Amino acid sequence: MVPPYIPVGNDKYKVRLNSSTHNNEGLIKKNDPESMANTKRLNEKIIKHLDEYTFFDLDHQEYSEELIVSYGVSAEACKDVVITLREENKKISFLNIKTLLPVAPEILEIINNYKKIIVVEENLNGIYSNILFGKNTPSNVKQVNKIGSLISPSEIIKVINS
Amino acid sequence: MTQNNILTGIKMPFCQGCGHGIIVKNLANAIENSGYSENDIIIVSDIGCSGLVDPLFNTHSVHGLHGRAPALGVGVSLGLDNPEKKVIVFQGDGGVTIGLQHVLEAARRNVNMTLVVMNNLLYGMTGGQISGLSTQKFKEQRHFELDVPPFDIVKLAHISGAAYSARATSIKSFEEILTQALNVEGFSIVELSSLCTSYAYKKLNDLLEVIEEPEILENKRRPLKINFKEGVNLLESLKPIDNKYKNGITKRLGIVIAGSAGGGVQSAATLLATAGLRCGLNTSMKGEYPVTVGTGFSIAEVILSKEKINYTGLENPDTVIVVSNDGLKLAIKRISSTSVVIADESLREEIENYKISNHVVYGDFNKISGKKGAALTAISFWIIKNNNIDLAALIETVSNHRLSAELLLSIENANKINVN
Repeated sequence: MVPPYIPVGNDKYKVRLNSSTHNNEGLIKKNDPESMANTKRLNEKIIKHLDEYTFFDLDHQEYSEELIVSYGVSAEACKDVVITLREENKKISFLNIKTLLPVAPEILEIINNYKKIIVVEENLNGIYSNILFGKNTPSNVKQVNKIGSLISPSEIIKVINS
Repeated sequence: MTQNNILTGIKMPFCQGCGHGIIVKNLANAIENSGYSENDIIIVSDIGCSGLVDPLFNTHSVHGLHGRAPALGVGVSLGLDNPEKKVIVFQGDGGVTIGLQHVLEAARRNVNMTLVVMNNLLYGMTGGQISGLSTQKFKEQRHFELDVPPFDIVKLAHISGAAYSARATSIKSFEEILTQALNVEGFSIVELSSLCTSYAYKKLNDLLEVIEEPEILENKRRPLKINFKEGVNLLESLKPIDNKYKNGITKRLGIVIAGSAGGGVQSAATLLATAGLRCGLNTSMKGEYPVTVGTGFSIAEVILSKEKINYTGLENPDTVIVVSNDGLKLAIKRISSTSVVIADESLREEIENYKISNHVVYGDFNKISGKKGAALTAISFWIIKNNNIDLAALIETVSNHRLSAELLLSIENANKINVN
């Protein structure tokens, strides 16, 4: 996806790197057509290749209608939750998202396959849940949020069973 | 001044009368004086009027975020590691103020690069606000921040370790000073006065009245040299932990070890977790202690498991080992209804006051092994009593430790513990 760069400082070709909006020569430009086209091209490239860098683990259990969605350290507690609940013959699936943003359509498609969603994340207000579902959280979505220490499996189970 | 190959020759993008163009032309001459060709030069700049320079130079260019050009310059310089090449960083007084730490870091490491500071006494691109390098006399005229002294970037860079730090105020001296700076091995910084006709003064003489005196300061230092090694794998120096010992574990075990700072709680827990690995188990170890590391409680959690450990927290510890009063205050909250408690004899009265229903085993861990060895003795005692892991695994774990003799003694002391 990213071609090899010619090194800055080489003897043959001049290289220009630029972290600001820039034209085709690598020079900073505010909003001329060339630099705007370049910025749009980069955005399209990000969207076009979304599937190449969207990583997730889906642990789907047949006939399950409930899905736990989590990421990072909280996902580790969710793995234990899945083991415990399945031992109790509860049907449960788990989506561990590795690429959070941009939200790939594939992630939304998976989530839409379940009737009940539990989003587990270690923050105060459920930032990712808000990104997925908006502030007006649908009634089939529950959040498990906590700060200060790890979210424990029993805290997640309590919300699932509530 | 004549046009040279270093510049592209395009029209200067600066306001009429702006001093930045004069600096650019003098730098181009200094580059030629120093014998560099276009492909030898990497111009690094960031945001602001000073950041308009890259199209002017027929060289490599790197353009970054406001205030960060020196940090980028350090990266380019160290990455190139080539004395034939020259990294020249441009900043205004605003950029230097924003990214001052980057300037000082480059100076104290004496990174081979030249920083050209175009000081027009203000943030020109955003409307003429005062910067950290606005001089006191200039601020007096503006009646602004009079009781806040300006940074002297030349002195700051010098005391930070820059090989060469200079301020030039006369346009006639710019080329010579810049040539000197470019020929320095190590970090050189040149602060040059520049006229902002939009927000400061229309006449050069007015500017000259408010700027600081010219100065050259030098440090005799060698430039930073990093020995890059290709293909070095940091994991190669690590020895694998063999798992030749047996374990007697039937279910996942969680152990809390609680004591005082300086009591070796964290290292004893680490030794237990490592010994667990030697017995073919999955293990995790987490420590918690106050920010003031050397005082108060020290508490550690170890999990020993045949299965993969996902969640590393410990909701219901199987065993809680407590060797000091500091530790007890926290450990008491961790004891669940099924926890077995192993406690120092000195804590008996206090634990009995808590009226817990758990099985508590008391031992003279502190009396026999002292404050520093009590935690490891208690852990060893737990191993001997329960045979969950092989004590030989713990002994092998400490055998390569720098304090192996003391640690081995603490382990052996576990045999002397009389259960009360």
